[in-house]
Amino acid sequence: MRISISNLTVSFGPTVAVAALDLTIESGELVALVGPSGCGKTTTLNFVAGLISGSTGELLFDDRDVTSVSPQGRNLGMVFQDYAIYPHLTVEENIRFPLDIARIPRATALESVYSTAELVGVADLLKRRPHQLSGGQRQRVALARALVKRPGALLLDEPLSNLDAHLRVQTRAEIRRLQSELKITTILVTHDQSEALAIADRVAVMDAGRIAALADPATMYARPPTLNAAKFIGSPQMNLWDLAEAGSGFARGALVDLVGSNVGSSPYIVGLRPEHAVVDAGGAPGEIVLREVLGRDVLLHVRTGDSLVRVMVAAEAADGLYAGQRVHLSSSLANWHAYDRDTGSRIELRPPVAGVST
Amino acid sequence: MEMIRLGPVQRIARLLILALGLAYTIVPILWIVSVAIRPPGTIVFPLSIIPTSFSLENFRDVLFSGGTGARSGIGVGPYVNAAVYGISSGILTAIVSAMGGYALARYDVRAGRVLLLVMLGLNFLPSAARLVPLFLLFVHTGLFNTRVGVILAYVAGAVPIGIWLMAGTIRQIPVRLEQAARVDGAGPFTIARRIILPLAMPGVLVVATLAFVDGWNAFSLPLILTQSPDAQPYTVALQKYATGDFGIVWTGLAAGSVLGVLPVLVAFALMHRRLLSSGGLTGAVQG
Repeated sequence: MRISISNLTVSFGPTVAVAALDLTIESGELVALVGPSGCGKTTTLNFVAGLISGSTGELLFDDRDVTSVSPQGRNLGMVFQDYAIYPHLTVEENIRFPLDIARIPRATALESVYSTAELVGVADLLKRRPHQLSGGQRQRVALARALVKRPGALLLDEPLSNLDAHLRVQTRAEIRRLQSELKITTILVTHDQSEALAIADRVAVMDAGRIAALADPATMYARPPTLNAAKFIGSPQMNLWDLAEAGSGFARGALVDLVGSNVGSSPYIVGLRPEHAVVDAGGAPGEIVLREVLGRDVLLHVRTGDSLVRVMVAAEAADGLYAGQRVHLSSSLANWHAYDRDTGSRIELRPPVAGVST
Repeated sequence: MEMIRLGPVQRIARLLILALGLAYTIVPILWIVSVAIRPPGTIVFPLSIIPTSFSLENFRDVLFSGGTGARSGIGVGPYVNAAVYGISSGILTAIVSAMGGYALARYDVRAGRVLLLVMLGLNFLPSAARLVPLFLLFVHTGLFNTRVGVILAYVAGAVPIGIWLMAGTIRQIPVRLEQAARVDGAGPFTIARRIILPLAMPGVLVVATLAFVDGWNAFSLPLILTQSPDAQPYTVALQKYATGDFGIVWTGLAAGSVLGVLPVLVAFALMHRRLLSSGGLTGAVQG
């Protein structure tokens, strides 16, 4: 089922939560809505579910206009952040609930419940009650309940944010596997950009009620289409400098060949991902002011001239690097990103061929 | 949790206080039972708690027969009336309170907060303050001396605290559950029946039981609002029976009261069990 949202605006009193948003999710596609709290991503999802009032805009499921159809008429499956499992029903009754509502005969319903429970991995929990389940198990039950009626689309509202880190990574892979197995159109709302990059076909970065960028995960990371996306995607965050400001000395020094000697007056914001700043024999001299061990990598905060640069170094290469040490920083021109300061749109500083190498 | 340890003096003091509290609540009941099971007409004074002889005749007298002299007992009718009033009031109050409580809990009712406060305030008014206005109202609307009238009066009295309690109960149920049910395909009535009602059941039972007990025990309202013995509950009938031409018949009054207390005890016992066994909202939503 294809989902088309057009010209969606949602206001809560004087607050505009979503502003003139257009988005089409193709049949079988998994699109992640990602962005900071209050960016309108959950509101957009609730609009698709039919759970909010006070919105203007149009919603199509394939070619059917469902804008004014009630939630119960939309045939959707939804998993909420807090799971919203019915506490007075057993796991089996929870999963069976949508089928009971649809008056599916008991025998058929139970068959669907068992096969879905099997698929999601809760088959041995069917007789339990919700308070006897762990967080991860509840999450799976909620997923089974959402999938059991073979909905036209699956809506996931921060489904992983209440799980511990290990389980989160495991479950997101599980969700992706189920989604591609069932070929079900899916909208995933998350504030975790790594989760969005990991499992989505396309990622929509939202900011202040608008879609700031929409691209596949590889493009979103390698060449963020807008400044907002550059700020939000990637962890640790991309180094960003406004070329017109003091403090951008390192960037100006690195880019002087590309932009020419008048870079100082350019209305550009330029960026360099921490893994693309290199501790080198030559380059801009600086001093390590902070060393953070991230696990596989080490993040160095290096002061060079008037700039502070985040530099990511593989752990084995960081052995001899410590706070207070003097180092030199260099970078490859092809790894720099540039954005128009006023519009936030991406500016290609170089021929596209060079961009591919990032 | 670490329990606070008591010294010997404190322990004795605690025992004494508990014993006094227990005596305060239980002795009157025991006394009434003790008076009720004496032979009819036994002189109550001088006071004695231990009856000297035993008889169930008082109960028979109150319920069925003429007993001493030409007086007749109040019969089973008044108890049936009280049961009809209490049960109807319990059921109606629970339904009205659940719906009103839901509205106040879920919808952004204008002045809903004020409405709740007013309702709670109404509950603090002495019920006697309502008697005369209700009497006049009932006389003019033809509800005077009708069963429907009595039930309506009870329900009107019990609904304010009922709505207050139900609004609190329903606020505890996450809205998210209703949203999930809507996406799962449930309409408003299905959600009310299969999600809200089961989860609000402890509150519904409390409200229904309170209304039932209030209705069963009511005295001044039915005294004013009914006239014919057909419509009178046992409280009113018993008062008339006990203050007959022969002065207060203590043994009969006691027997009638014992019969009146029993259903209330049973209702509380039942509610107590259901309240403890209901699982509550554990596990509904995470975080």
